[in-house]
Amino acid sequence: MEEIIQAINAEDPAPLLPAGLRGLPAALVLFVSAYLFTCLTLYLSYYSRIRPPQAGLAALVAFAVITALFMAWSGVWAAAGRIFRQRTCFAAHISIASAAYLAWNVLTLIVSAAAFSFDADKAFRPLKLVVFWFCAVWAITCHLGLVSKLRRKTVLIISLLLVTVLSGVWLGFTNLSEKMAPGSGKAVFDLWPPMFRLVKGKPAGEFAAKLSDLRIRVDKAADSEK
Amino acid sequence: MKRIYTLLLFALLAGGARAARAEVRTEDVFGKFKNQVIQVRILEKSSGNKAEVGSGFAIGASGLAVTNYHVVSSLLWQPGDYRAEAMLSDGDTREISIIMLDVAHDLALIRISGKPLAPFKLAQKLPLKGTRLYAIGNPRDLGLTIVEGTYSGVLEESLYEKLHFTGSINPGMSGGPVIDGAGNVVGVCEATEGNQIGFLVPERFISGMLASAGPEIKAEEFVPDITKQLLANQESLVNRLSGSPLAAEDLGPFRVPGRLSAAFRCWAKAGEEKREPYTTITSACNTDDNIYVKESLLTGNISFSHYLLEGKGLDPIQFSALEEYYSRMTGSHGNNFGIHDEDMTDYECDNSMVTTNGITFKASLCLRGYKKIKGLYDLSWTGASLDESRRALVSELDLSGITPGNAEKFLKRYLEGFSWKK
Repeated sequence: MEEIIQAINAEDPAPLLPAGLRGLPAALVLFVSAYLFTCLTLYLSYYSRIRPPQAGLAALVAFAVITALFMAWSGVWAAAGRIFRQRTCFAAHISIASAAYLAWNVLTLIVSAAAFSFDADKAFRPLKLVVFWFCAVWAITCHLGLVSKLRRKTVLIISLLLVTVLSGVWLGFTNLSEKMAPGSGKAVFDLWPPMFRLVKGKPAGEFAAKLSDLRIRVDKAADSEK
Repeated sequence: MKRIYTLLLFALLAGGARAARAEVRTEDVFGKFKNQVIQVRILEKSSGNKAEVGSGFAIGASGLAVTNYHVVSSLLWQPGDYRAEAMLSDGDTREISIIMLDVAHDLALIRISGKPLAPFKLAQKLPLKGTRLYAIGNPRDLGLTIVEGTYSGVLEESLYEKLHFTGSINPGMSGGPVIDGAGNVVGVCEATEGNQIGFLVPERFISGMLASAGPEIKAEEFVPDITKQLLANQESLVNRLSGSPLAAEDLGPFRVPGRLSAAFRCWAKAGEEKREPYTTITSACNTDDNIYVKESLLTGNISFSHYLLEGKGLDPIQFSALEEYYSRMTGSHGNNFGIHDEDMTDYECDNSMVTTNGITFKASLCLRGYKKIKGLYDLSWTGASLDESRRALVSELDLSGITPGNAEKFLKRYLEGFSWKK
């Protein structure tokens, strides 16, 4: 509250990032958590002892990649802060990037597990995009809030526009690459251990009857191409 | 004494028969029948250059001839770009028109303009295995040649009846006759697998065409005719395969769909890598037959594979990552290769769980349609079993050129073929 009053007195926008996340200790904790989470997901998808590099080497590569990406991303924002507000807040930018990365990955994993558990890939698929969109908007808003003197509302509008446009470009690109390699990504499903399964499968006859719906979709797509 | 004379008489007769057989000389066969064989040329209209060449031969009355459907197919699909002509053994060229098609058996009945050539006779019955046969045609556009070979029987592992000819068939000989020493047509050159392994269309399918030959087909009738034939063919194929109980075989603790008919070739392979914390066994069946529709489109193939995965050295999440890798590898629609956008729609897919005889699969069901052959579709199904945390079955099924109704019937039957081993 005190910070907000100070910000009002200084005619600054109210801070978007909680004070506890702006220091170096919080940045380190969040960065290490992001790294450990990456190592965990790598380990859990690590079924071959031969094809991928050794586990230790994979962890090292992950560390190098994550460090380089986070440093570069936060560095750009810190430099922008130095230019526009004469302060870098490098640790705060690292915190934002790490928290957004962690939230995005953990939530995506939860969505994937839920989609599997309830056998509802179609219903949960848009949620993955929503999770990404939400995390990205939050991160960009926080970064912008630190580097600019713009009002909260303006910052939020800029973030929304930026992330929506970038998501649109990304979706367009994905759609285009799917058109160039037809059917390449559509048969993909996430698998989890059997204990995650909460619903029964459809009987064979009911499952095979889905072909009628697929036929309608195929014919519709063919007609729209004409 | 009388017995000795009788034996001598038999010996003389047998020797005479052998001599009679030995009298059939290849050069005589070639000299006698070469004028009845033509080169079928597909020419690009604007340049007049050859786009494709094949062979053909005179049959029946009134200037009819037979060649392969695949030799003349570009003329049917792109009539504005190509025209066809026949070149006779003396170098004379004649116009040709298409009378009838048998797409499933890769045959086309054509009419050669001008004075009819002397026709070949059909053999009416298959020769004995090992009988010497002669293939006449234009290999690689190098001129009319004759190739000696032997008849090796009816191909059993085939959806569409074919004869096995042990002799060198090369590109350009497609549509040419394979005859016995008396000049009777046993089959039509269709394909080769190299190393003197050749495949022939049996002459009985020519008889069928000749019996129902009508007037020349109009250009706008080709595609509806091909569509009708492909629809009828898949109908009879599914009925044939549904007629007998589904063959199932053991794979680890599972019973899985096996060799559905003699037309399927099945193979199995155990994973070689012993250092991995998991093992794999692959069992795959497919029909080698494809129906040639056009250069960029083959259809009529059925294939399925099963992968048994066991990962004793993996934890359950790692094992599900392995299973996911296999399901993505199998469900990546490899048969898209070579398929053009103008021929097929994109796949539409639906993912869900299916339970059959106590086995639950996470499965992906995909369908795509043929743009120019209305009513025909390709189905692709991939399933990964979810019953055990360190052992799973990943299976895939691909059906090409099938109606959704028949695909549903086939898929249901296929799914019901999975069970636990008792």
